[in-house]
Amino acid sequence: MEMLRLEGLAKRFGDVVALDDCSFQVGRGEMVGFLGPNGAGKTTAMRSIFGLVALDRGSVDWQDSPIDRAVRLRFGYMPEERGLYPRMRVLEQVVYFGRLHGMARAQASTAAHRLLSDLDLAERWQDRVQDLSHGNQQRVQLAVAMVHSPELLVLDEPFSGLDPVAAARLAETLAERARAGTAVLFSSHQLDVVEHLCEDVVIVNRGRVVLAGRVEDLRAASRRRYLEVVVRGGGTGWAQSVRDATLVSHNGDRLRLRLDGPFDLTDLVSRAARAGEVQEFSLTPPDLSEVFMEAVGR
Amino acid sequence: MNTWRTIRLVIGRDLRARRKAAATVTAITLILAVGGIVIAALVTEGRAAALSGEEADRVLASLGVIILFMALVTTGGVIAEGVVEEKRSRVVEVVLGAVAPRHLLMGKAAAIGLIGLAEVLLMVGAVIAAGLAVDAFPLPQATAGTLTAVVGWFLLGYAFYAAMYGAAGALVAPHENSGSATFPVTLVLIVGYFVGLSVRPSGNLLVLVLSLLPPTAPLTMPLRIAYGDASAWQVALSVVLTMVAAYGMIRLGARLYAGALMRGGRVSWRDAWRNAAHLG
Repeated sequence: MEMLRLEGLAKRFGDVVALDDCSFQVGRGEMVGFLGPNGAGKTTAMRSIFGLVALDRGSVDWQDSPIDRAVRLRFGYMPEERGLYPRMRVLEQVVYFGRLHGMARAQASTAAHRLLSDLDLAERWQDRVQDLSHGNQQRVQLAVAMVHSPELLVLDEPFSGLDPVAAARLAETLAERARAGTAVLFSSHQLDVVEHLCEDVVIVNRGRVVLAGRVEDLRAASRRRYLEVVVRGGGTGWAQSVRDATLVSHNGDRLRLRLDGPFDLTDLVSRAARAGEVQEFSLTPPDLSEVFMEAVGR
Repeated sequence: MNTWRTIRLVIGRDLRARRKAAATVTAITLILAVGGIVIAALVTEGRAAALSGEEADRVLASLGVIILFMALVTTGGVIAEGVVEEKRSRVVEVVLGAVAPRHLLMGKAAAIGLIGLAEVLLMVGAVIAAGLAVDAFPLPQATAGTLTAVVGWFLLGYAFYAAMYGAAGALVAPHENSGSATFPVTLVLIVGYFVGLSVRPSGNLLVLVLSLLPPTAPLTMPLRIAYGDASAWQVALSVVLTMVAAYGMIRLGARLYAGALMRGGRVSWRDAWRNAAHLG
């Protein structure tokens, strides 16, 4: 079910085009990875959801209506530029933001306690935010974004600066929220994380959506394929006669080929079989990072 | 959600964040007041230095102008600094996800205004206590009017200046000190202060005009009232004008504040005005 829809967003900052007819959707329970090179317009698009940007054109709708302040209270936001009240204590801070989003004090307090212990911050709740490590501040920031159980979670680069353990933990938390029905939109440069975590991605470049859809479909839609094959005693000679194929690497009898054009699978198999005993033969589409590079023309 | 609830929450946070600073200022004021009373009592050696009701009003009103000026400039500075802090810590982007910029500014201004009002009452109280301690002026005939005037003009002046100080704070680049941006606003107060202190009975036309016009009325009218120089219609007119102007300044200040808050670096007044069209 479609919940968030950005339609035809346009925004210039002087001569710089941040958004240029940018449109995409996020559905209920969907976790969408928002990708693009630096300066592609991701942050501007995310800010527009919270009314923090004066758009030149376009609309941002939630459940088919324009987003107003009351609706926005059901959203959670973690900006790219992290920020908390440095001298406020952790629990007090999370409770404050819960209440700003409409929760009663007791309700916010319960939710904050639970969230902080989920994030392994249970023992730090009385500390001032400025006394926490960078990683822990990031967790508090996440707690602030999630304390009111938002229906939409918008996270700008949530994985940046996290160690692998913390990143895995965050991925798990986000997946949990999405399973519970939250629509999650997050930007990231860590394409492996995105590929692992998201079913859907939106790729922007120069303010426009250049590719959007299921990761699997986008990978499959690429004309390029990789062939990993082990032909005992086959050498590399047989592969060089395949049209549009490039030998990417080889290690003994194990070859990795890139197929850039249409190919005949039966022909490929028989060529390999003629060269020697085929022990492994697997054809895979390019991974997300390659799809990304292709889409942004790098 | 209820706007007032949001503003109350902001007020609560801003009050809590400043409770230590407020306590410190209160303590200093009390120490100075007690010290002043003791010194005054020693100097007069218990003799009554009684002033007539009229003289008492003038002394009180002059002190009132000083108190007003100091209170307006310091509370204004605290607002601007509070705004810069939220910009500097970059928490403002998260807050604005949930709170309209004008509500954030209103809450902050109300919280700091409450602290300012408490300080004004404390200082006025200290002046009266000092006067009583040395029997300098009679109570309550002479003082009641002046006291009301000082407190009333603080509220009016604060309403007029607070949003502008907030807007000035929002213009500042996060690493900068807020002083440079607030100076133009403070300058207007300084003009009012010197005019206010130089008011003499049957003052000239300039003083009359300045005491009616909003930017300077809060600091010039109290003395004219004390001198019995201002007629009822003049007082009423200056109060109404200041109230109307304060409303305009709050709208204007809130717009500039909203337009500047999400900008990095130093923002010009013009850019802030233009950029705010979509925010409310």
